[in-house]
Order: sequence, then structure tokens, then C-alpha cells
Amino acid sequence: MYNSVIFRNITFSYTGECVLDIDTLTIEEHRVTAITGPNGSGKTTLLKILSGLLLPDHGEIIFKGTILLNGKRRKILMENSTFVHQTPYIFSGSVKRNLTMGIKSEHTCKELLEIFDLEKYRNSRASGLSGGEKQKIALARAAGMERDILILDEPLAHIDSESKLIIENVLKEMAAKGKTLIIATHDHTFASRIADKIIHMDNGKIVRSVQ
Amino acid sequence: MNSVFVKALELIVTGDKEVLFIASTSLRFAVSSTVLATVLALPLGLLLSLSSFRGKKLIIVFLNSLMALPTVVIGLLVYSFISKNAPFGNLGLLFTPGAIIIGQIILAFPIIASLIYSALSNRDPSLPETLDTLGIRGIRKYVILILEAKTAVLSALLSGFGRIIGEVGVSMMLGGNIRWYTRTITTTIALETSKGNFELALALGIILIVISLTINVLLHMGIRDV
Repeated sequence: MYNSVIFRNITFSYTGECVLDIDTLTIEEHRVTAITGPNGSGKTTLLKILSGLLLPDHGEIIFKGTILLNGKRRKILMENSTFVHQTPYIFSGSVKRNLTMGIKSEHTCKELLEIFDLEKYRNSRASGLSGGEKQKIALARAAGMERDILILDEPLAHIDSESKLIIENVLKEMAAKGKTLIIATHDHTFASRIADKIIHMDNGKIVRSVQ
Repeated sequence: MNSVFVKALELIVTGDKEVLFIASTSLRFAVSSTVLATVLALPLGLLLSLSSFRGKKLIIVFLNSLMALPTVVIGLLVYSFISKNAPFGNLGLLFTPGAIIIGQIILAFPIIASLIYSALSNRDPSLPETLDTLGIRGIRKYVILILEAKTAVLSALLSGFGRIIGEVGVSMMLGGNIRWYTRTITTTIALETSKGNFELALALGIILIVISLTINVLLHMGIRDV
């Protein structure tokens, strides 16, 4: 098993207050890692550092065996991962426009609309759809990017059970295809169903890691 | 009053040459100034909303203060630079359409820049992150940021246009209100009213209202269709 991302002594502060302090964390390639923990435990900050959206104050990030230097950290992590927010941003315009923001191939776009059961909304105004449909749009958009690492912040929050089932099945399929998935969730049963490894966080620290 | 109103309508309906010339001159100046002010204000609005740097607050306070600057003061300032013995006097800009457009750009720039900054700052904070994570960078990123805030951005342009089309001070001081050359709707209204020629003033007043309403309606229809 190849180690996709390793964190060493990573810290991050918001307005002087340390919100993330990780001694060591290993995200393995082609596996599903779930991150659980209460609100404010540092899950989202950790995901944003993993995706390159935030830069840590201190520490070392090793990606596929190479230490990422400060200047290239963001670029390399961003080029290899995609992040889906808990409340995803939905662009104005149709569902198709939202998908084609990240996906260039018309064929992939059509395929994703079918997989995520969005075909019937293809030309509908995306911002007018329900929370569950919006989450599916964001996931489809991210899935279509075909990056190695998919990072999801609470993908099942505020959505109906039917959409949950679709999303969970798609995530399982992606895991089976060898994608590296990193998922923050409050839902422990979902985490145990889908993840190969569960990391529990509290107060910005990793308090437990279960394989 | 009724006969004045009827005569004013007659001037519009019969397509009086001078009325049409004055209206088209006003529109030409206002559109040119709004476009040029937007070209200058858009990068500043984007810079202020997307980055943090020393002096940013100072620039915002300065822009907000300039929004309320009286038109005659802008006219006076530009006049002091382009009049005969001033630093740019040799360019021969005074009492030309160019001088009016320079003054109107200065008038609209802080309004458009400040409102674009507000529009882009009030965006969903996850938008730039989503663009980053989708690999959208450079010019395309900025275009999408503007398109996602298009209603507010167009409102900023309309505010700038509204301020320009209705101003008198800049056009009067820098254009000189020269007939068949720099005479605009507002300067004509001021002049003809002082002469007691209410028909022409009222006809131009009606045209000014129609122009403002039409541009507002067209832009809002455009926003809906984008």
C-alpha cells in the first residue's frame, strides 16, 4: 500500500488560536478514510489543508514520497485532489452548466447526469433544486474532475434518504475503482460502512485512529 | 402648463433635429464614460475584494468619500489641469467632448469600483475555493466571479451611468455647453429653463427619464436571460 499523503507536525491557527495540531497522519492511497468528530474539532480545516485550499502554519506534508515545499504545496495538492464543501457552491444557470464547469467531455457529463440521477434536471436552474440534488451536482462535478483524491466535507448532511443511498453507492463505486476518498462525517454508521480507516478528532487533535 | 407639455411632446414626436442631437450627445458621452470607468474600476474592485494588503481600508474609505464628491468640484479639478495655462493645457481638451468624458469617468469611477467591491465581497465564501478546487484560474476565474455577481455588478454600472447622465457640473464647466458640439440634456435644461424656454427643457427632461428607464429595463431583462 502506497502512502498518498503524510502530515508531520502540522499546525494551523485562525486569528492566533491554534485549531489544528497533528503530530502525524497518514492517508493511504486507494482507500477510504473517514474523519469523525464534534463540531469545531478541526475536520474541515484538516480537509482544506489536504486539498491545498489552506496552507498550514508549520509542519511537513509528504505527497507520494516527496516532501512538498512551501511554494508548490498548494499547486500539487490542488492538482491531485478535489474538495466538496458541506454546503456546496452552486453556480447560476443549469445543472449541465454546473457540471461543465469542471468537466470538459460531453460524454462524461452525460454519464454523470445518469449516475447521479440528475438527467431529468439537466436543463433546470440548479440553484432552485433541493439540498440533496445540489449535493449530488457538487459530487458529480467533483467526480468528473478525475483527480486521484476526492475530499468530501459531510456529503450526507441535510439530504433525504434516497439521495443518501445514491451518494453512498457512488462513493463505494469510486472506492472500488481505486480513488482515494477522505470524508468528514458526523454519521458514525456511515463511516463504518464506507471507510477502511476512521480517524476521530477533538480539539484540533487526532484522538483515535481505527483501521 | 398644458400647452408647454404639448409643445414639448411635439418636439419629441416630430423628431426636432436639435433635441435629437442633444439627446444622442448625452447618451454617447454617458455610455463612453460608463464603459471607460468600468474598465478602470473592475480590476480595482476585484483586487480589493479578493486580496488583503496594507492600505486596503484606506483605499475603500477614499473611494467611499469620492462617491459623494460634488460634480462642480470634479469639474473645477479637471479644469485646473486642462485650462490654457495648466499642465495639460497644450492638449486643447477644454470645452471638448474629451474633457467631459474625463470628468465623467472621475465621477463614476469611485461609485462603480466601490459597488463592485461590495458586490464581490458579499459573495458566498465557498465560491473562490470551489473555483480553485475545479482548477479554474486566471482570467476565467475572474470572469466567473463577476458573472456570479452579475446582478450586483450591473447595478454598480447602472449607478455609475445614472450619476453621469444626470450630472450638470462637469458638462457645463468642462464642455462649455457649446451648441451642436458639447451641449447635453442637462446643460440644455439648465440653460433653457433660465431663458424661460420651458418647452425644450421639458422635452429633454422627458427624454432623460425615458433613457434612464429604458436602460434599466434592458439591463434587467439581460440579467434575467443570462
